[in-house]
Amino acid sequence: MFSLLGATTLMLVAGAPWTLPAAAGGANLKSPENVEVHIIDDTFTLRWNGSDPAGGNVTFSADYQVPRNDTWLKLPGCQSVTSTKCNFSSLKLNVYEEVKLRVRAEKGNETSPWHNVAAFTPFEKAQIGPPKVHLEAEDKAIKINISPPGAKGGVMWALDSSSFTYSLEIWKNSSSAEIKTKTVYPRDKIYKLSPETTYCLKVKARLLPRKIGAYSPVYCIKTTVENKLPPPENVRIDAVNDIYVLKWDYASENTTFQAQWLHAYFKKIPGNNSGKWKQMPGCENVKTTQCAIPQNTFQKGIYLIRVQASDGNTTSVWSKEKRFDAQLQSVLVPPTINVKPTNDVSLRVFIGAPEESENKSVNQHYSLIYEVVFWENTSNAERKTLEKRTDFTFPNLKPLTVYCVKARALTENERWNKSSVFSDPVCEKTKPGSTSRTWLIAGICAALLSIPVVTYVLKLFLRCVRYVFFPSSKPPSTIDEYFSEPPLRNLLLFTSEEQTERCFIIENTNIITAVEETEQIGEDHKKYNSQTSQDSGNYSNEDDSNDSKSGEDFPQQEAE
Amino acid sequence: MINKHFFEIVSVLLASSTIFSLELKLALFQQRVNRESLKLLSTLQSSSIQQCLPHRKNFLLPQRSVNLRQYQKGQTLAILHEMLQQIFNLFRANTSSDGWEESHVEKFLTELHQQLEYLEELTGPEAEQDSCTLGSENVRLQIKMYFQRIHDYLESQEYSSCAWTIVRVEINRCLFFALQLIRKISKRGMHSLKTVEHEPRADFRSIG
Repeated sequence: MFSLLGATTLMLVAGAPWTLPAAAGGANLKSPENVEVHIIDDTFTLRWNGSDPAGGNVTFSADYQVPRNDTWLKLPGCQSVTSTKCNFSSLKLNVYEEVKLRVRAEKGNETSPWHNVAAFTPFEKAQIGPPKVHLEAEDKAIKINISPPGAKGGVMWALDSSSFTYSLEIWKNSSSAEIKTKTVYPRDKIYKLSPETTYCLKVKARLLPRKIGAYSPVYCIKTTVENKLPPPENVRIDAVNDIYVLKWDYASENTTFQAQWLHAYFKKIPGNNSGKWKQMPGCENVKTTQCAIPQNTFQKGIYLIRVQASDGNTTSVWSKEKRFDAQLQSVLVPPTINVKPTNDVSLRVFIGAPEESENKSVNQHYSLIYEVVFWENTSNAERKTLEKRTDFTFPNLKPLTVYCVKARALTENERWNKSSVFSDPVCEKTKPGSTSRTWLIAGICAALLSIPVVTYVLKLFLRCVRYVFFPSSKPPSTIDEYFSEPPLRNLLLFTSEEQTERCFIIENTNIITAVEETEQIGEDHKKYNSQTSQDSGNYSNEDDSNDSKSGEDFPQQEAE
Repeated sequence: MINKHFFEIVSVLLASSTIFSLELKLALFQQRVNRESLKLLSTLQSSSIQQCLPHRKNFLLPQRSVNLRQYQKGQTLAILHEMLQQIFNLFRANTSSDGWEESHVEKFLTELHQQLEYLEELTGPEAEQDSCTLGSENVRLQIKMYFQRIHDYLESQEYSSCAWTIVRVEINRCLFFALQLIRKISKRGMHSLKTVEHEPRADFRSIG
């Protein structure tokens, strides 16, 4: 019983928190619904639907979170707001980074649960607002000056201010007027209008790829009275040889003209670029409806050209700006060719830049290929090749023949489809064949080498012949050797020996000549005696016949 | 040092030649922008690079996300367009970059402008219908963030000449990177640049 009572009390107590608020009368706040973020240029708005029908003092607060930080920060401009939208443009966000938001309702001390907004990137969500337009009327044209959307110094389009493209709608301010749509630059002119007519227009900005902005408010302006001096028309420019010829049409005579040019990219840059127009060289105050411009004035690129007429007192407005792509119009110059015959009966061809006094040649702007025509001087058969290289060889030609080469430059890129005229032909004679030459050299070398060989062989032969047919009375050389050796070897010693020997041999009747000699050296006899006594001892053991013979021969040898 | 390295690479790129059908203009662009960016670098004195080394900053070029293979031609063109557009915006207003000849800047801007127009021609009519451009939105944002960092850096350095030097070197890197993109497009086209494919990539990695 008591337990049952206790249990019921417990249940009641437990149930109280759920029931009590209802009983208190709607203190359970619901979080806001349909929360949306609207971003137009640099204006950030948060909108929602308050879910509390009863009204009362309900306020809303919002927080934000950036990916680097994990904490929720208070969203400025959205704290305790009474209305169902708030503006948080004062928050300096990185517009390219994801951001999370959450909103809740507050009443007194109570707060509703947070309503989380899905993470978004401000830049992606942002819409392009209307651009600002400034107009200036001429007689048959309207000058427009469009400022990019967003405030100056705004963050959202800071990196894209030059990237906007503008679309314009214009119509006459009369009933049933047709609307024309044009794509215009920030600073542009709308031509072909009627004088003294009111035109109305509106502009919207577009950011590739998919952002399209809102239209600006409609602006209307009246064109002026027709000018006495119309602007030149039909401005055109053509390349002729190495100059550009600028031509235009003009009705009346006795007018002077001047022309100006501008880099086309200036049109993409917002701001005042009127000071960037440059005078066209060769076209200042010309009386004719054309002028010549040196080709090196315009490097590759896109330019805009305009012409103005003047009759001394008044000047006309500028003509329509003519767009001019220097690359499409320039003319290629023929290249220079250098031909050299090489050793292996070929011709080496060098294709060089055209000789021009000025450094800046048109050709250097393109990647070029060359059409080379090659023929034998005597025949008419031509060989055509397309070469990318500037240094190549024609091999396997006939030796000692004259060949001629001519070439012209072509743009590699078929889109331009330009070609120069053919250069003057250059002719060269090939060198003689290498086979005959090598034989010649080999023959000469062989001949040179063979001379000593032949001489040697002849010498041997002659000696042989002489030996056979004209023998000499000389003893064989070996015997000579044998005899000549000792005296040559022991020249000094032998003289002393000889003295002793002669002394010894005086008794022998054969050696009469030796006696004569010893008398000459008789003075020295006593001197050498002691010395030679040893020697004589040495020699006396030897063969006597040898000594005697050697003694005999010695004077003979000496004489020889 | 950096000059010579770039010169060799860029010479290799200049020596290559390709013939496409649709992407003819891009091939020309490849060569011409190389030439112009080379001139940009060539005006840099090595001494100025030396003295500016302490001011270097990593701008975190979003290489990986741009280099993903699954992009189709339309998306790659969109990415390329964004890059070139941002480079144009960066340099169009520079009157404070001393050390540059105005003619160089003019040529560079002319080149960029021309290529932007060509790209717009190529992508223009299809852009709105092409749902594939959705995928490239994220990459465009990353590229925008990258350039935001460069702009913020310049502002924080008060557009000093050293800051501009650093930025110029960075933009050269970026251009090189853009050329890789072009090569990818052209690879998927009729012909491919097989010979030049490997060398610059290896070199680029070494610089990067």
